[in-house]
Amino acid sequence: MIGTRRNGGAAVAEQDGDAVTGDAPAKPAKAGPTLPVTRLVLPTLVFCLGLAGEFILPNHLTYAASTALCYGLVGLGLYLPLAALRELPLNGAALAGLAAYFFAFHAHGGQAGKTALRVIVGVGLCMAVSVAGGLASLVVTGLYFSVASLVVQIGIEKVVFSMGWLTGGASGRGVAQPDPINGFFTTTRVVFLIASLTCLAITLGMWRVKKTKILANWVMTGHQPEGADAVGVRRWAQKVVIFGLSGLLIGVAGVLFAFVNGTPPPPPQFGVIWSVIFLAIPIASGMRTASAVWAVAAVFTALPIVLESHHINPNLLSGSILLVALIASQSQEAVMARIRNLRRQPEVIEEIALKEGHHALEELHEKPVAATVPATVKGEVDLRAPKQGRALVGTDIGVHFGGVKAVDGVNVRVGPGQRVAIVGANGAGKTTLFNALNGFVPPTTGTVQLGDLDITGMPAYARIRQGLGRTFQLPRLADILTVRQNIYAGQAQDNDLVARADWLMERFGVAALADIPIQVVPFGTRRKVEIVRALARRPEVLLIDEPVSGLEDEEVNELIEVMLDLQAAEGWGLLLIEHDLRFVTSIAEQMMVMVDGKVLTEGSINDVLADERVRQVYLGEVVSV
Amino acid sequence: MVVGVTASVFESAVIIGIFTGTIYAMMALGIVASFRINRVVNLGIPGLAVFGATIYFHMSNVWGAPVIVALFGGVAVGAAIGALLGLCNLKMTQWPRGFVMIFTLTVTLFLFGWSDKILPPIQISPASPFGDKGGFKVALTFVSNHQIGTFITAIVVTLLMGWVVSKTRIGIYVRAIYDDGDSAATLGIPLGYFVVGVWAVAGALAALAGILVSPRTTLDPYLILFVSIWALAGSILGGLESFGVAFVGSILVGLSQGILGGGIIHLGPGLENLGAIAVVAVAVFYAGVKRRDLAHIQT
Repeated sequence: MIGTRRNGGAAVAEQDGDAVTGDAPAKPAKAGPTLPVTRLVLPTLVFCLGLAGEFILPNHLTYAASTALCYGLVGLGLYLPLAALRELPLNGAALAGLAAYFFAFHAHGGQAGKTALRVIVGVGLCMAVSVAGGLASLVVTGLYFSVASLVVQIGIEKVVFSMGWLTGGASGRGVAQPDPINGFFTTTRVVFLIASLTCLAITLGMWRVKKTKILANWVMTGHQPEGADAVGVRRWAQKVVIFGLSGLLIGVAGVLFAFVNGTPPPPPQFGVIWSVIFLAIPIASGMRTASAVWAVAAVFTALPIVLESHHINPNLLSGSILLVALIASQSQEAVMARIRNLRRQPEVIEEIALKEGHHALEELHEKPVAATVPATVKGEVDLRAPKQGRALVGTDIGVHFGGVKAVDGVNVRVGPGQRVAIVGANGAGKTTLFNALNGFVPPTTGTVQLGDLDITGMPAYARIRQGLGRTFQLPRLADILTVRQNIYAGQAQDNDLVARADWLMERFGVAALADIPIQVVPFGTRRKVEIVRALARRPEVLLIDEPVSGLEDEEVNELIEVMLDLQAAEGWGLLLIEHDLRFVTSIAEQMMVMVDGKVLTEGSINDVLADERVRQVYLGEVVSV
Repeated sequence: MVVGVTASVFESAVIIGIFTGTIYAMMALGIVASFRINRVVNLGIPGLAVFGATIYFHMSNVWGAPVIVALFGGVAVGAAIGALLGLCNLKMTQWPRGFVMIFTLTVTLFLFGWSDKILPPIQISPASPFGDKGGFKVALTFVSNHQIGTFITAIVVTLLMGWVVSKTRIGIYVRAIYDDGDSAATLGIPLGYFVVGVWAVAGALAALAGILVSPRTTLDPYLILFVSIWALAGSILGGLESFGVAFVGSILVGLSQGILGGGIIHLGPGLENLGAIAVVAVAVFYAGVKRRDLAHIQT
């Protein structure tokens, strides 16, 4: 039987036989998400208000608007590490101050060309410090990263600002401002125009970046570091880029601070409390969009002006702004849901919920995985062509944590086309062995080779790039990314790989969920997404950790069928950890039993299962190895 | 760059460093106490210190209360605000800890603002609870009774807190909650009481620190804020978990400032903080890597 089914506008031929002819394109077209019109409301509003401000605001408010743009830029700079890496940098103010003071001091009285050079050097200095701080996040994360960034803040505040030769000292220097253009465009307005055009360009640049696949790599780096390694993402490179961009934005903001004011604001404006206030801007914005960051920055600037006549203590005012920002960030979801519910009728809400993926989930349950795409379709040869296979060989692998030998002298080999299962009780060292093979844990003893290549000293991402694939006991997927973004993460900008990923999504029955966030996807489906992600890179050896835990019996059967079919066609080696013996015996040819970090026995499935000691392990008796 | 050093100059630099470190240590104890229960870095400590010292000043100088009564008054107010902060923490269990940390900073800003309203618009140094007069000279440095009193107080409080945490039933409960609050609750440990209680103790310690620090720094909020940042640095040395190591860490930070700023090694204006910054940077990386390795083994 041959039929057709729509997938994002491309017809995919379906058949029961081994071969089919026809004109159907092999690579399914991508069904990218469309941008809802409502998402354009806030950016349009922000842009229009900014444009109107140029003409209708009085001079002092135009100056305030320029200051708001500086705040917004620092907020955007902090938004990157905060949203992508979940790190709280507490040095935003000091970095802005560094650029402001350096620029003002060295651009003082200079010509336009020299001034431009000083802008570049000032911003570059800010980027360098930001990147150095960012690299610290490779070593320390979370609280310790925040404190490390605080150290940078103190260092700049207490040491660098006092270096007269670098920043001109605490008093700063004047910066030349543009002359007025006819009667209406005063200096303040021209400054605002320059500042707003700079910010517009930066916002458009960020919007463009958000549209690329880089975003998925950034989020994966911060939200699932091991997941990032497992798709071959160089985390250090991503961090350098993120903190470099962050430094760029904050540096530009610093230069603008000096430019807008005519001289850098006094050092207390770049103190630690201001760092926290700047950090509150992206936090209050909900870390969703750049437009929200600009809107919050405008509110932060406007509040003191509006409340000026009440003579509120600046500390009380700053504290109130911070508190409101925090509460807003934490209750934003609930408030937005209420607003949506007020605006929409119940049937409309239901319709939106369906659009957001509920129908896709239902479809998924109704559709058997193995039948979604035939085993072979004309033209799909490229998508499933085997890579040159090499064997993964671990020799005398040992992983010791102090006196605990989690893995002790294990030898393992998975050749092209082989399927090897590792079984054993919890704590037997199976996952630790995987981690040693994959590079997440350095082996205390032994070597790991892929073919003739010794990969023992390679970091995890490099092993993935060499040809290993890996999934985890608990899927390492970034919750805020969609299924598609999670799968694309780490993929080179290679259309063939993307097409293969799309094809595999169909093959494993997750294509219908491609554009919904992974956090609403059932656990068992996440496992399939992770397998798709690993297979998309055409691994030579795939390491999968408990792939059927959380899956229904029917889903297990489907998975077995698809995996065996793919493996037979593509010839990759498979090393898996699994407790479910039914799955193991259905999919594996060889079996290895581990007890207390050592191999109890190994061999063909039948031989191993016939071993009395294996029975004792599974019946809970103590076995000495 | 390096100035010729006599024994007296060195001794003086060390003495200055130790007493500066003692000031940091007093603050650090409050930071460690609150972190020790629910892993939140309490940036409310500087606010509590300033406000506690403000109450102490107001009671003793404006109301004319005896110093000991004013001291207890300041500490009690610190404890009450600390308890309130603890209650807020209980309401924020779903918040990321970094956000709770920022929340505590808002408390500091509020307390700074409130102190501004209470205090006269001039720089004020409250009287020391140990008396403003008396002391002796060591090498080139005059050591006041206030400094000796602060030093002894810091040691006593450090030992007391360390003993409570490591040797008493309360300490076991606190450690259990710190390790895993939900599991502790299933053992019947009253989570809420302990969180509020420990934060109250942290507030009291911060207020006491403010009262002992302000005779030297004045009641300038931003000076006390910087004292707390160095204190945070000192407490990081012990991974924010150990009162003893926080004390030693704070002394180390003070010593490095004393030695670089006290004429033994003179690098230039503003650069006396370089040593302290280096100490803190090493401490952060050491503690962070240790924590990461431990987490790796546990998983």
